[in-house]
Amino acid sequence: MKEQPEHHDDAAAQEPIVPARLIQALGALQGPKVSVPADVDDAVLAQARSHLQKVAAPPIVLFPRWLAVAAAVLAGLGLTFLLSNTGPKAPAFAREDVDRNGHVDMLDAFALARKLQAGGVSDRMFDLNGDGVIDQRDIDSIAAYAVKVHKG
Amino acid sequence: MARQQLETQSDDARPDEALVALINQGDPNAFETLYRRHRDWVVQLAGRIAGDQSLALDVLQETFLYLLRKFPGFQLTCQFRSFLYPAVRNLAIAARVKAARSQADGCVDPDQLEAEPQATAGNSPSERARLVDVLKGLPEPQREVLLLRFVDGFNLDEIAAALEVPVGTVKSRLHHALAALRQDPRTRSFFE
Repeated sequence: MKEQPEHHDDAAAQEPIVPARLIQALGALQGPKVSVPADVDDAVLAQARSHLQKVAAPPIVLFPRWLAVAAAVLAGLGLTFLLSNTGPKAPAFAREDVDRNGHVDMLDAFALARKLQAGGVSDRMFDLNGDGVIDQRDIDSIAAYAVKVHKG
Repeated sequence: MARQQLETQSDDARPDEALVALINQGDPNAFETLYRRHRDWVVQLAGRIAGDQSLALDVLQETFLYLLRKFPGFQLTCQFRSFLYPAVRNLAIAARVKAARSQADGCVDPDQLEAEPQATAGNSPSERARLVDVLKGLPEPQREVLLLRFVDGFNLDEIAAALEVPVGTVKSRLHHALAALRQDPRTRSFFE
């Protein structure tokens, strides 16, 4: 029997009415019932479990080592920055820093000398050698400290 | 309807689309439900096309492994059986060709290996035999549509999706197949 060319004419526009006897006869053309052994089910379902286990647990994304190192360095720098900027810090001056400019140098020795020449120094903090008297020896101490600092 | 007879008994009323969504999330129980729901239909169809029960079981496994490989990311855009039909059909034909080659060690024409209906029940034996003869003589596309409609219980839209042809083509093939049965003296009695 030859197949007629396919066309979509009016007759094919709706599903044709089919006699019930024919439907019943066609429905009976199932072929022999195929029973599925349990081991076939088990094989398919085992494969499914194995495959879907990977689906449920997405792979861990590994960063490149250089990226991890860079992140650690950045974190360290950030931490250092935070720790060094925890708020306004009161200036801490050394006792030798007579002019309070943040540096101990020969100018501090001169400043103490000028103070002594101007009429004496009552502030005990300038008793740098701890002998109870503020005098030339304290000026010398500042000078020695300044030299030491400059060497360091 | 034959489709209902083949439906595997299951208490799980969730639609196939919902099960597919769960399988996409890695749920093996949803896959098992889907498998048990459609297993018997797949193996029956495979048996009908391959003509051998052991081949049908192979096709059953290959079909569901083919499906499994589509997860995650599978989107069901038609009825599940419409989606599965081409896979079952192609795998069954391939299995039958392979088996025939291994047996005959010769050339096999795949076109001659399409499903040949087998009568098991229904009307009188002579009527069934005549019906089977006429069906064998139908062009394969017409026979395929006829079997999908009345053996597998697909509706026209499902057949169109399964065969990836327009619904109009399905209607046309069905119309021509039924016209051939009506005109053939061996099956004319069904229409009287």
